[in-house]
Amino acid sequence: MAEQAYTVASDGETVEDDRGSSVYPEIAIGIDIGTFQSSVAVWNGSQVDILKNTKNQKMWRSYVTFKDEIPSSGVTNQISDEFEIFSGSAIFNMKRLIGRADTDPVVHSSKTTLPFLVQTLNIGTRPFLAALVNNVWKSTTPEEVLAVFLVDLRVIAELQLKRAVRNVVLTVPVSFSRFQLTRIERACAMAGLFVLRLMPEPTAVALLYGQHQQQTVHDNMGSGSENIAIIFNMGAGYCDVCVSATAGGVSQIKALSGSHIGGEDIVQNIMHHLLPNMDSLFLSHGNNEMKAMGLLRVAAQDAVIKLSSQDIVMIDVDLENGLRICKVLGRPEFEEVNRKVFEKCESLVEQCLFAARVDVEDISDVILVGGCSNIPKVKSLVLELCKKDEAYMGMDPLEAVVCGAALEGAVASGVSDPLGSLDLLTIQATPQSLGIEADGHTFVPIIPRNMTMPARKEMWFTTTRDNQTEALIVVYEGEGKKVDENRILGYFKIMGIPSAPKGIPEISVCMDLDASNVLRVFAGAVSPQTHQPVMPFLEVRMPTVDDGHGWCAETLVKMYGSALDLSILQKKMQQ
Amino acid sequence: MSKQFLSYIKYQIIMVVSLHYSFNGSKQQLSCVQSLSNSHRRLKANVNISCRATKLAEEKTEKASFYKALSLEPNNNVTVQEIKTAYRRKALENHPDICHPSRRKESTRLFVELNKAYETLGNPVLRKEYDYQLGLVSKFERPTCQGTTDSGLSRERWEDQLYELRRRSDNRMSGRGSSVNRFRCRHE
Repeated sequence: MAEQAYTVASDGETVEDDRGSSVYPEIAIGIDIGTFQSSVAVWNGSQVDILKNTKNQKMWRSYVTFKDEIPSSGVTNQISDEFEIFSGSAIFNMKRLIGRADTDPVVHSSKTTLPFLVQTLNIGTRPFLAALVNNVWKSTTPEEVLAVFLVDLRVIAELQLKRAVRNVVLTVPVSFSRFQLTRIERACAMAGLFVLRLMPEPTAVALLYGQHQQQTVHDNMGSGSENIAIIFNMGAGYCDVCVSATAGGVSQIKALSGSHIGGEDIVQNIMHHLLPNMDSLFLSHGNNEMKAMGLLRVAAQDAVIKLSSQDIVMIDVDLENGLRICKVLGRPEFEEVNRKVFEKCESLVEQCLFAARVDVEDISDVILVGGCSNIPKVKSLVLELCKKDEAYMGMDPLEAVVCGAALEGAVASGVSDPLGSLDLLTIQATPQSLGIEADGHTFVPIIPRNMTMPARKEMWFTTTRDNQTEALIVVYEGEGKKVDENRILGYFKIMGIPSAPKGIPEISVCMDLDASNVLRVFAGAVSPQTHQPVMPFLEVRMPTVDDGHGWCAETLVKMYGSALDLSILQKKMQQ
Repeated sequence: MSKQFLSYIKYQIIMVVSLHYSFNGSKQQLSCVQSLSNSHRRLKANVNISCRATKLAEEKTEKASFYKALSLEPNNNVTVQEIKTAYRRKALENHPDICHPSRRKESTRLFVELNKAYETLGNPVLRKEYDYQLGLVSKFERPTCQGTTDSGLSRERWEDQLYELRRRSDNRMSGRGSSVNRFRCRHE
């Protein structure tokens, strides 16, 4: 992802000028784009500074309003009241919608709970998104909205830092697909930003934890014992878990898990709980419905926040047109309504601990970050699973991710600190398995999940038919056993396989994942007699298909059936 | 594997890459050639399987490179802690994230090799087997390393197998779950 695929040249001149005048290389800023709110931080030469907007806020609401000809974002826009955001002219939750097809359940649940237009035709293409401007629905896309937001964010950062800002480190959820990462990069490019690194959110926290550890234990590298930390990050849109082993400033990511559950689901559940026939009521997206939805959303959001500090909350909201909701909501009821969300959190923690092969007794610290880590139930369930009484106290739960991103920005820009507080490294692990289709419709992972990055791995395959001379390599990402449970990233055909009975030809498929998370697949047939390539190997950078092209897989099956299928070469596997 | 063949393949690959280059606009020539020679190395290892003597000789130097990759003396007395520390120190030297961009390709290769070494040396079972292959320990003695007795070793192996089984069953379960989800979302 470091390749300059989408750089925008418009402001290249100014960057050069600034570089000339400053002694240091341009330090990349860290950006944490949240579903609900975002923040920016930068290494100032001795520590991390979180930037403030004109309203002196560190956290900026992630939304864009399309009121007039020029859209304005939550970074600079002075919103007088919350309801303005919910009037139909504002688009938010970009992070939840970006890079998803219209068959995605996350997109579906947004249709009746977000006060702007999300249209789905259920055919696996990109959903249609629109904001209400002067009583007309104007179409837009999540990455366009994100780009507008990033432009404003960049302006504020440049004003404060008094220099051009170009290089950024962005944090992303663990569960983001390669398509979603591509979309984020595209949005950055549209905003004139160059993505130096996209790092999973909890790994940014791991980096910050590494710095903390190094400051407390002066014993550099040597016998400084290894600290196992579990990082649980739950914001409005996503929940991520990570287990890291830290010593001497080096944090090794042992395992990652993540899902698209978060505060947004909790708010949506409360909305449904308060108004059970909401879906049918709000489907028409009329002006009145939009207003009612906005009112209900604000009430639900308030209730969720209040229930973090009090046991009971009184909800009294007039949705107009004869609809009024009066309800007392207690914490047990709240927890019951959101039972599935909390169960999912539990399973993510369990899955991560299991994959890291760590005993809970070995965990030194439980780090809880993100807005939802304030919810008492979330806190208690994580601590209980990790058999700890208290969470790690040294970090601000809302600022940890962006601070980690800023540290990575400094490290990746080649800045070194005389005091050694930047002698840090996070050794990343793969958040998802990568593999190809073989043995029928089975997904065969070549680079498994939680493998140390950069990674390179080779596997051997063979033909499934006699005298088969061509084979289709179809690359997928995901954890499903069958390929149709995973995301197709691309495909290509290898040709010139020597004619032989099935199972004899040897086909090598090698996957290469570099430190920038760029995936290359390298494949070709090898002569079983001479062990030499029969044809030049093919190297393909993935993904080759775009998001919303999941139908490619079905079309391939329709066209070729199983004529070009592969199966695992067993005898090579045993070696 | 003859040199002639190697250069032939390099030529072939450069042809493919230049085609790819004009198509994609990316500049991957070097890495591609490098990948190919890597795959050659592996191929070479395969050829040698038929010839046991050569293989063993080669293995010895090749496998000693696991210790070498971590800058450690090939010795079964090296502690787990020392291996971990060495891994971290080498990671700080060679990780492509913190190396100068001009060294990126090389450091990526070095780091992948470092990981391979650490995967083996960091795992008590794999390390034992490989120390034996190196002739650092004799199979009959099986000296205890890090307090790992024979029973500890077999327990480790048993745990490994258990882990694998559980992982597979988990995969199946989650596979089932997601197919249900798919079904649901398609019919919504």
